[in-house]
Amino acid sequence: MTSPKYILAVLMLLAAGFAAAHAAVNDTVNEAASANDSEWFSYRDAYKAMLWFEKYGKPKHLIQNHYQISPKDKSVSMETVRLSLVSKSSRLNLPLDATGRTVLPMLKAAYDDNAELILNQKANQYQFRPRASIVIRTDGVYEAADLRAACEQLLAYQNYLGSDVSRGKKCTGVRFV
Amino acid sequence: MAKFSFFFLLLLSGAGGAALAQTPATNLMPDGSRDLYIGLGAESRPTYQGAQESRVAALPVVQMQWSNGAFIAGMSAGMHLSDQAQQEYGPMLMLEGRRSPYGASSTAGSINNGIAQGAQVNGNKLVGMDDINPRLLAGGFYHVALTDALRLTNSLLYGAGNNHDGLRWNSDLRYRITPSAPHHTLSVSAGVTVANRAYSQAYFGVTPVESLRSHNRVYAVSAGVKDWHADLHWNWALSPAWLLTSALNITRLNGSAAASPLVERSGNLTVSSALAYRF
Repeated sequence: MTSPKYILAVLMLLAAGFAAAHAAVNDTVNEAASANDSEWFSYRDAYKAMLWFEKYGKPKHLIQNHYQISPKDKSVSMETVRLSLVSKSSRLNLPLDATGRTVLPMLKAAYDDNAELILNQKANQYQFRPRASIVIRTDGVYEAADLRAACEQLLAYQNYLGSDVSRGKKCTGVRFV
Repeated sequence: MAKFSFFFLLLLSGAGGAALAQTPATNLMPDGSRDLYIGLGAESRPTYQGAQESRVAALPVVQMQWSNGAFIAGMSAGMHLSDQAQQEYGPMLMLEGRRSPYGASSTAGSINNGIAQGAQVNGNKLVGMDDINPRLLAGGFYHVALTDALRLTNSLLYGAGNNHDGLRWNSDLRYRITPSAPHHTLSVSAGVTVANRAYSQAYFGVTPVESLRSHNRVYAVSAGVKDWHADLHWNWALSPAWLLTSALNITRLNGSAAASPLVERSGNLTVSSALAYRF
């Protein structure tokens, strides 16, 4: 390897190492003792994924969109899991329901700040993704026709996104979780 | 994630670059916002398409996206016109850099007067060849998601070469690998570049006048598949603000382009890595 190439390679490695250390110490909120005890996600990337639902123009009044935290280990309890939206000027706690879903606030200020979503769990233990579902009724009573319509709306939305999961599928039933 | 979305940083291409025109994925954001990456890295690339010699150079990196769909990515700029999740298309401009003989150290003769002197030793085959001036290429892009992880990308750009009439079409199949480690994105792609006769002649042809000045015989190039190539892209988000982006490209020239007297080796490797900050 020629000398200039070697020097450049070393400089790049040093820069990467410095940035990683800098990011771990300064960019992660110190809710946990070390960077290994918290997981972060980019609010901008989450915002982008959620905005597809906002911009979707076909009927969607029977369905809703959340962000869902789900453990890779399904036996783990969600009781102690806490999610926060942290930006330069504010910190917002995002409550999770029993299935780990939260309503992601669509805040321009947080987007412009390049805010972080911080999970108080160890890194690489949780998945974080948009989740579309049928709107829940408070009285728990559902017309069969409405459930069929809701399923069709959900399927249409998933096909619009190009999801492999829904490709070629039809609505045959609804599952309550 | 159900939504098919990719993220790429386009690396600046230098003279006679083998870099493909790429476009960042549609980036939905609040009205009036923008998403900006600026960084610096290094790139090892052939001195020109088909050169034996490679050089390492500093590589500034920039990618900007606005809420109205406009973007700048390295040497490219364009606009997303589609509002569909599975298709992206729009107009694009790209700056193609200058191609000229590299340095003076690799030949036995002087290049001060643009004429190759004496016997060619460790050739710089561009000595005596016309420089190809920088050009602003215009065209468009069209990408379609075939599955969640597989995407077909296309770009068509016109205006290369000193006569402003070079046309090239890049088409790639890009596959996103989902690594188990968080904050890493990895994709591989394979594709082809098709060029018209004017483009091919500009970059691989030798005119009678150039033949008199250089060590190259007169050579005419036809239109067709200029090269096959494969790419590997790896992005590592160190934090929401810091990103390490790396890429590897292997390009193999094809047909009459590969047989050009300017070509010292038909296979070329470009490697780069850069650290970028997200504003």
